[in-house]
Amino acid sequence: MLKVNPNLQKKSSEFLNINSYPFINREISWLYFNERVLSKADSQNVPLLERLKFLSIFSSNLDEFYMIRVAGVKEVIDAGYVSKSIVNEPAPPELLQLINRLAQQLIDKQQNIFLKLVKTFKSKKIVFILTPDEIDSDIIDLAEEIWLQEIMPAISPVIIGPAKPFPFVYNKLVSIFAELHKGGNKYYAIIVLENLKRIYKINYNNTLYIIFAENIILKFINRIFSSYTIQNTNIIRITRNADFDIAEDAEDLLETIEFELSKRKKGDVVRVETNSVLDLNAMSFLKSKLNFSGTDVLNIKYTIDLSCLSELNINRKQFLYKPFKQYFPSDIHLNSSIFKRIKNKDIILYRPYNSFCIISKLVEIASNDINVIAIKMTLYRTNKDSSIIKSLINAAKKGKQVSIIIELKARFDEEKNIEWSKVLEDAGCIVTYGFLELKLHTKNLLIVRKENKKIVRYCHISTGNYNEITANIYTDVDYLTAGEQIGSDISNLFNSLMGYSEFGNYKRITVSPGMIRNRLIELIDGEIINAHKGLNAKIAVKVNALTDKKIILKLYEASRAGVKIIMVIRGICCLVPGIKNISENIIVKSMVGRFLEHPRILYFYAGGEEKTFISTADWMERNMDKRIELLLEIKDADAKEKLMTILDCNMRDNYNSWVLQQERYVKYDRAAARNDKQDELHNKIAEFYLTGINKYSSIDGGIANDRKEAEEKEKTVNYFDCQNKLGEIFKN
Amino acid sequence: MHISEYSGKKERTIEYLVKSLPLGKDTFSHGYISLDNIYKSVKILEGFAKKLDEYDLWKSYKALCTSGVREALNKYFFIDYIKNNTGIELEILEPSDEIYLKYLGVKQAIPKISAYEEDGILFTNISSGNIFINILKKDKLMLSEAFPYGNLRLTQIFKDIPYQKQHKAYEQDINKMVLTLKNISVKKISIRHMISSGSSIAVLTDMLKPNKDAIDRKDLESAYSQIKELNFYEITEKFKLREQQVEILIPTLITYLKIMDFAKVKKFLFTRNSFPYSMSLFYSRTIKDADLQNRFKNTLYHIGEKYSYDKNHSKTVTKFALKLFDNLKTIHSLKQKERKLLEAAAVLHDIGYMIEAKNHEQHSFNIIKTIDFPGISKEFIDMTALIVLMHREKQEIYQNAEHDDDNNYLTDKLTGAKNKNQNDYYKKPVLDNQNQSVNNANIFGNRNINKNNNNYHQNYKNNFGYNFGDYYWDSRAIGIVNADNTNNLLSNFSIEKKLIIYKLASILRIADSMDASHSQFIDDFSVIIDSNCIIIKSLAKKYPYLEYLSFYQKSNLFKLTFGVNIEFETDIDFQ
Repeated sequence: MLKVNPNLQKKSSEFLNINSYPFINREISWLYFNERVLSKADSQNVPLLERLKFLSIFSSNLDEFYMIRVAGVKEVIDAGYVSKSIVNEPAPPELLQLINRLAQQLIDKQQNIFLKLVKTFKSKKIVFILTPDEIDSDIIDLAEEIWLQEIMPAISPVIIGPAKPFPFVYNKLVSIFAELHKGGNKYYAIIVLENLKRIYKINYNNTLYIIFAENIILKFINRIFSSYTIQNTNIIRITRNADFDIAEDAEDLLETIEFELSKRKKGDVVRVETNSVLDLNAMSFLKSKLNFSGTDVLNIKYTIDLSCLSELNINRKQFLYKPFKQYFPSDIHLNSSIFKRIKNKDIILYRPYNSFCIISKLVEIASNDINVIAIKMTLYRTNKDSSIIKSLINAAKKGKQVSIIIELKARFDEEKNIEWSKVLEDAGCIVTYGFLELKLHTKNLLIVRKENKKIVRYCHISTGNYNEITANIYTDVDYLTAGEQIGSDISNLFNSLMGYSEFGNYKRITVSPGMIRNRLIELIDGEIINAHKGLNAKIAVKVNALTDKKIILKLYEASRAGVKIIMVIRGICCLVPGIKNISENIIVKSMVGRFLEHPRILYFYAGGEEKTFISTADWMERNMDKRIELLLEIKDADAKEKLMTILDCNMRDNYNSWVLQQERYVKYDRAAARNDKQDELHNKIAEFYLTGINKYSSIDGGIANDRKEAEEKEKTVNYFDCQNKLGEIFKN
Repeated sequence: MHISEYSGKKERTIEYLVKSLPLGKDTFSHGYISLDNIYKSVKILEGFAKKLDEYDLWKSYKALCTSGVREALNKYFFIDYIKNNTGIELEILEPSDEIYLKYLGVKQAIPKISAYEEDGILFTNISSGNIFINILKKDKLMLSEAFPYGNLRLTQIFKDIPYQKQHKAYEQDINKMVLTLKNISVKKISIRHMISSGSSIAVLTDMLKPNKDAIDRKDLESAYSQIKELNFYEITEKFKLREQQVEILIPTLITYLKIMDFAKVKKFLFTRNSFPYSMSLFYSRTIKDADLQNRFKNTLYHIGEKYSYDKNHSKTVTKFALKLFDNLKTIHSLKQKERKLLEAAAVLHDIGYMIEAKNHEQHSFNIIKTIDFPGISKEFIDMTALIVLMHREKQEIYQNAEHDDDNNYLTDKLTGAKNKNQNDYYKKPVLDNQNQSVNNANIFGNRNINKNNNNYHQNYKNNFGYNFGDYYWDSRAIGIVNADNTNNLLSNFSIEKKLIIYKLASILRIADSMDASHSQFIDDFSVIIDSNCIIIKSLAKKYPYLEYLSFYQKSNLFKLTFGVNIEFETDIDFQ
């Protein structure tokens, strides 16, 4: 009598034992991902200055990894969980060792690449000064000027003694630790590089010198400790636990987050980087003052914390990526006619190949449009001076109801978001702060317009944030529709996010927590059933991470049933592909390129129906259970085709891609590497597909040549075996 | 909260919002809504207020309260607090209006119900505080009751009983309800269909996931037998229901099973349409109950039969009353709605005879007061009852000098005088009465009863300051208490409504007098309106002595009300 989905019943009977299947540990998998980022810095095909940026991204990624993930592992160990929870995963203490060992290897690799790049730059008249001794007579005068004017007034050296305790060293700050001698006594001194630029640039004699602040200080350190003998100096940097839990009974989320943010700077030490080996005494001194253990120490060969390289800002075009041309559909005009256009037909855009300004302008147009009565928006991460925020404020001032849901918990953007929320509230917007226990990750804009006394809802559903800066770096899908059902769903979603309603009877969208995983499993089950029947069964997935054990087990089940699965997973992947009788039908590849791959696009063959989805959710437990995420099936035929094209391009790419072979990522055969413009080819193909032939034209009218170029290049491409295999999944 | 957009008669749901807060838990267990829940209500309604802002709906919304608020002792404080803090004005929905709205909602969703009304249909609405039951057959409303047995109410009544035993308590309690239901409903009525609506539907559909909008008895039974064995958490887990749903699950299942037993049906239909949706359709006049008046009329006769009324008399009086109404339009200037009021009063005016002839108008009044007919307002019923009460001349109305203006309205209206001092008030009607009695005397010649009466009346009036109308002797003998009673009942109505009651009661009296013998001597009549006199010319089979006497007793109210003389002439219809 009770109607239970037969698939679900089947699932429970065939529930796979988690302990008999292989998994890659997610922390280790993440480190592999960062290795792929790092390898971009070593790629001959990436312009020189961009390669420095990859070094910088590698460093800041690793910082975040330590602050959150390693901190988490350490907390788990401290809490007494020292044995394995799953057979095929390392126990936490073992994992910590593995992480530190692998991180050390990667750091060594990064330093080597850096040194190699420094040598190359030297031939291009860009000189990096890596030690104080390299500050030679050519530039010593200018260095001294910097020392006198910029550095000396800002630093506060401390000689630690009974009257001067060890100062608190904030998270991620570089310090100089020195051993001083005077009258047979030994002293330790510390200089924290606080409120200081890390990199100084000197132009001298047609050469650009780049000097790190610590090297200038070391050059003149004698002047600070003039009455001491300086025995030893080390550069050190500590990283602290920056993850925080919000107490469940927190009354005012805004105040709580402000308080927690101040704590972030003061978390436990999780990593200590030094540029040279500290002697035993110094080490035990530091350990006692900062409370860390020997395993937390990473040795940096040359220069600590290369994340600062992103601030370099050297304008030499030949060493940078060529400016990127963005396209937008020729039938879209950035005035109120855009509403009619959306009503006529859904619009799909692919950032950054399509300009994000269409979305930011849409908000601006809405804010000035007399027929618009309300604008609602989720705000997860946005940029400084965001034109979207300005438009929202303008709209509120014009009497429209503007509702914003700000996710205060967007990691490392909390402070920024608190500022925004205050500005928006002052302007008369209704601002709410999401939920204590759930992070708001869905990215939606809803414009409510009254047209001839009828309500029309315009929805923007995106995989990317409303951030005009990152929109040029991240790839993402933007979807615009005035469809009735989606409009009603998004309306309901906003009502529940604003706390107005508990009603969530969605017709088109699927929302996590709770629902997305079920839906995915249902879709995978559908393929399994078809595979069992001997029908075509295919799944193609593009996500940023795959860690959810339930989904992984379901994918193993699908593979065993004969479902062909290809996954383009940029970052962490805990699934082990290509294992006989477990995952031989699964291919996992990763793309790391000029742009950060960010959209989640899913494809299920569904017996020929070819269901295609966009989503904000990665396939991770946190996205399924602890975040508000959205999954939408795209039914518009043209939009669907474009999404499939993106997947196809992703699968055929061999230039920015690695293939996961069991537990290691393997780059495509170097010998068969394509020419230097391959990176762009990918982009061109994407542009070509996405901008179409007749329907679209580029802003500057240069599409014809670009298209030809793209077409020609496409013809010349020879795919490797592996790629053919990838492509074939879609061919048959 | 349901937000609709209408273009013509087409409804489009813009938004639907749900926020659950079981106020009934407070009301059904403590009798009032707790302050904490009042604050929570404000918070929820603030959100809804933002929606009214968004769509600019402050002038076109309806916010209704049902049992959870309606039965709370502090309901007026609650309503006031909500208004002060959110701007939203709540209205209390009376039970009969509630079930009517719900029934209309179901009818709109399931159009074939209209056909079922002929076959016999039981409509039930099981909500948190009440169970409404309507039984319709042959386009008549056979029964309409609100039983205080809602699912949340039951959980509150029996909350102190151990969980495993609660279902037994629920069963016993609902058995009692079904017993009552059996007692008050017509015996051996066969019901072919059952329809349901109300918040309880969501629990059942979430649990049983029926494909169609129908639920089978056997599914309910097997679900109940399974659930009886499970504890709260097992149910939550097994059926993936929310906690609040699980709380009311068992009483809901039992109620449905028992009502289905009573109706002897194997399945029931339901609609997933929400109550706010029905509200939206109703208040936007998108759904209309075309059959309402017909159903009501049928039901009036059904009630009459139930009380073994004199059907021929009732029909004759109704016919006469309506004919008078139609012919006197230029004088009374009442509308169609008032005609229905008159019709209802005429059909039912003598049903109290079944209990006792002496005070039958009082009994009729009491019976009519208890009529609960969905779609017909309480006010309509109350007015009908009052008109019926006044159909008998001993139920006279008096004007008290100490009463405020409201009570003096009639004289006011009759004399057209305003801002008169109190002394003036009573002069003119008394004079009118004298004139009338003179006229009466002229017609009746040797019957001086009126004159005497008038003298008595004047004395009485002079002594006590009361004006009892002409038939003081009746009023004085038994009627003072009754007159007082009538007057008190009347004071609940506005001046306009009172006047309607007077007008209709005077017409009913005349119609009633024209069949005073209950023998239908008078077949038909015509109405002639002269400059200051109305003449009713009737055609009779026999000389209607009783009718004549009665006419002159009963026509006085007409004169008092309209200030116009009314006369009665008869031609004997010789074959």
